[in-house]
Amino acid sequence: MSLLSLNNVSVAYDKNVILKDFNLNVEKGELLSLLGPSGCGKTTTLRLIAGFLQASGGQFIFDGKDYSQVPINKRHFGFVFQNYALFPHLSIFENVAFGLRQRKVDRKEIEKRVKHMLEVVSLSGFEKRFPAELSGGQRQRVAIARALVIKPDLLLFDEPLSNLDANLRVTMRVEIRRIQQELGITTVYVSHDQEECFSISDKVAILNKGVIEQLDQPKTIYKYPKTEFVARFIGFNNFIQCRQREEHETHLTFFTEQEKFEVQKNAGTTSTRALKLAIRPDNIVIEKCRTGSGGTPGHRDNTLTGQVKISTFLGRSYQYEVDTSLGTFQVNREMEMPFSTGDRVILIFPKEKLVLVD
Amino acid sequence: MMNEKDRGLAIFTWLTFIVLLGPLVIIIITSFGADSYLSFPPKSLSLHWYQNIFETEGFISTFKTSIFVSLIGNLIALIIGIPAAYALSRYHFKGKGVLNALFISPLLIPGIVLGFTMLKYVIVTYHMPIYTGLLVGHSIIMLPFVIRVISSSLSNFDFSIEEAALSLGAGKLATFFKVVLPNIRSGLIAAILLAFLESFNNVDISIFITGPGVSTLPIQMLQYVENYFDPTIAAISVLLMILTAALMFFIERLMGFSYFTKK
Ligand SMILES: Nc1ncnc2c1ncn2[C@@H]1O[C@H](COP(=O)(O)OP(=O)(O)OP(=O)(O)O)[C@@H](O)[C@H]1O
Ligand SMILES: [Mg+2]
Repeated sequence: MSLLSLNNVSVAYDKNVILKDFNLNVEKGELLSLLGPSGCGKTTTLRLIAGFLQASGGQFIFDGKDYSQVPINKRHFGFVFQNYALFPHLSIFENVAFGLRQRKVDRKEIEKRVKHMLEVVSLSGFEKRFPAELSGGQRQRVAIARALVIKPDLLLFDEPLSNLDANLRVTMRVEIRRIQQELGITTVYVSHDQEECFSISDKVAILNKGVIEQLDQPKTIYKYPKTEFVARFIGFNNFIQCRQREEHETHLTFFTEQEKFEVQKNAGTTSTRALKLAIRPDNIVIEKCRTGSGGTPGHRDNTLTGQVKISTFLGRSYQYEVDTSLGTFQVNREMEMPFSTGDRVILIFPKEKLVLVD
Repeated sequence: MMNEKDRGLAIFTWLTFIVLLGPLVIIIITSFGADSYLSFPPKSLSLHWYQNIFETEGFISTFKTSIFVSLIGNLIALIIGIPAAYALSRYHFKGKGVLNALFISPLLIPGIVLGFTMLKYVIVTYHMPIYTGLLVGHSIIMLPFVIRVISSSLSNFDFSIEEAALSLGAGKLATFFKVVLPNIRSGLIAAILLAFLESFNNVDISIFITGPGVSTLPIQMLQYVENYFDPTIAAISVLLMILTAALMFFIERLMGFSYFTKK
């Protein structure tokens, strides 16, 4: 059984419904990320788990017990706030010791555990300073230490790295993952940075308007998005709307008015009614149309002919917008032999790169 | 070199000082006069009138009453005012604006009106003892100061800190005393001092409420000057000025006066 389960939970601010019939399961010891655009309900979900918010319906099970009525201070969860929320009037030592003092841990033990935790986050020697005397990254680490030192049953992170610069962000996320794995603490991590989520999570849940669109391992989500929203969110910028489908032993065949596309089975959604295909700009192969101005004789499956409309230099590659009978496609291609606007081209959609989405 | 404009400004500034501080200086000097009537400048100096404060019946006892009423009233105002200020800053609810205005209203209503109303409708109707009446009246005039100053402290308070404390296992009460209060400490002290001064110097409410046997120092002083013209009042004023100045100095050291002009 999962360590944490939200079953059909609803949350609303006044009449504004944010989460409706929301379901989420987190397994013991794993790091699960909630990823999604701004305003989709990530913070709301996290605050609900922490107890800062009350659900208007549904069930919250933690470790086999109903937690919906358990007060915040009895939950034993660590929360790392986006703005750190350190206690400005307390020294770094006292900030980290706060949770232990509430639990009446004895003095020597507090001393030992705080010292050790400050070592873990590489802040030894900062005990006597105050939060105002630390850099953003250091405050961040105090916030993490403060949440970790109580050995919480669950660790909740709300975009902990969003205020840091790019380099520190990478260092800190590796650090967070290391500590989390070392201590084996079940963690829910909120972010809207894809790379951050994919790099540290065991599982990622993609949220859209208070609904989890897909919950999978990062690799699976990256390769096989199940819905159009997820596909778009992670960079599948091209979609093909088909009209019919045929099922074969090893693959599926999709038909548009004139074209035919073959797709591997089990790539993306397993829904038997889905008719939409998605592909990344990097995965479309673009070639020069060899027959000059005429059409293509012997038209092949999984291809489209088109004309380059816009060509943009991206540095490492070129990006082309290609007009075809099925709309405009975005295609990336390495530098050599660039096409220019107006060129007639063939787009090839490799069977193993197409993904079926809802 | 000073140009015309600067010189004009300098003169104006000095005039303002003289108008403001002149009377105070005169009071201080006359309080040391030896004559049994107020005269300026005094012909000879003495500490007699300071001695008279302690020998005249009423001053010391009313001073004690004043201190008692101001301190206990202050406590009452804090007990009501802190939770009120907290609720007004922390939560959004219907009628918040009205409540806010209500709590500030004693500042806007003339004290005489408030005092008279208290007398007519509260003291007389409920046969309230004078002490109780004084406490109620003074708590009411102190409340707006407490709420205003503490609200403005709380408006800079980051409530996620409170959530952090709760999530670290502190109960609601412990969170309030260990995390909220320490972070609004300076506002709290300012509120206490301001309210205290407001109450301690109050005449317009006290005058309706005090009666036979129980009076406050300002009322006692008022009655004294109706009968005597000697510099005792000047001497008391000097002592009170010293007390007030000491309090203000304390506030100033704590957070600077800019604190009150900012909001
Ligand atoms: N206190 C509040 N009162 C009313 N509506 C709120 C409140 N807090 C959040 N909302 C609304 O709830 C929705 C979800 O907010 P939430 O903070 O969960 O988003 P988020 O996914 O964390 O976004 P972000 O990435 O910007 O932090 C938003 O539409 C927001 O406007
Ligand atoms: Mg958020």
